[in-house]
Amino acid sequence: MAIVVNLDVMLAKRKLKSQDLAAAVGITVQNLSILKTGKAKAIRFSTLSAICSYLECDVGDILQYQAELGS
Amino acid sequence: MHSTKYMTLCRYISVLLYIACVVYPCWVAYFWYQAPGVVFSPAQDYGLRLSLLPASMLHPQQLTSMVKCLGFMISWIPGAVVVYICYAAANIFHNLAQQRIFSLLHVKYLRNMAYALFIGQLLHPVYDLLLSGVLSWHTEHPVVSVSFTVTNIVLLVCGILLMIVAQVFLAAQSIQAEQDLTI
Repeated sequence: MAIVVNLDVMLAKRKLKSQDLAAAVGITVQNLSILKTGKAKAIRFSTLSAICSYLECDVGDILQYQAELGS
Repeated sequence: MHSTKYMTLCRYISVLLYIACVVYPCWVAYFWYQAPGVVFSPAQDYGLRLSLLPASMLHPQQLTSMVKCLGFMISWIPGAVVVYICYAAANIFHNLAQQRIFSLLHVKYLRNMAYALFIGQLLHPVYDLLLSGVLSWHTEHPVVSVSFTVTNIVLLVCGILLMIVAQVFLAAQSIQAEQDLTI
């Protein structure tokens, strides 16, 4: 997937735990793990908005586009 | 759709179908064991005929053991289709009772049920031919009959519809998978 999720980086910067983020956003820890590992197929705007609000960051801080090798 | 009553109903239906998978072969075996007698004589008083013998042979002569054995084996041409369809349907209802609705297993079972219906109906004339031949070959006037009725055509169409439903389930399963991975 060309979209890289930098949630771990942001959580480390803000010194926050995954469980706290999941509870604040209203998703399960498992779903948050799916998001962090890049296995998610899609993310709702409402979820993205809640994450950005909790981490006090921009969308670009969480999602990054990386052109795939060879393309 | 996910109510308790719905799940309970699916569970009961799956149990009934599993029982049918066992009862049907036993009934076939018992029928041929006591053939050409009627299995449930009171049923005939109400116009209900429970017989594997063709309607054209309502009063067949005494059957030899060899004829009974052959008749039992030939009965498995449609019998295997019936048992498989009951088994596949039971598994589908069992999964529905556990709220697993759009599953690749259902796609597989629905496709196989469709193939079983196709093959069963296409083999029906062969079944008729073999059964009539076996039942009458030792008589003075052996008769073979071949039939392909409206019922067979309707069941063929049902097979096509089942194949379409399987494709719909396949599309639904991919949508469900994408939905499950949408955070």
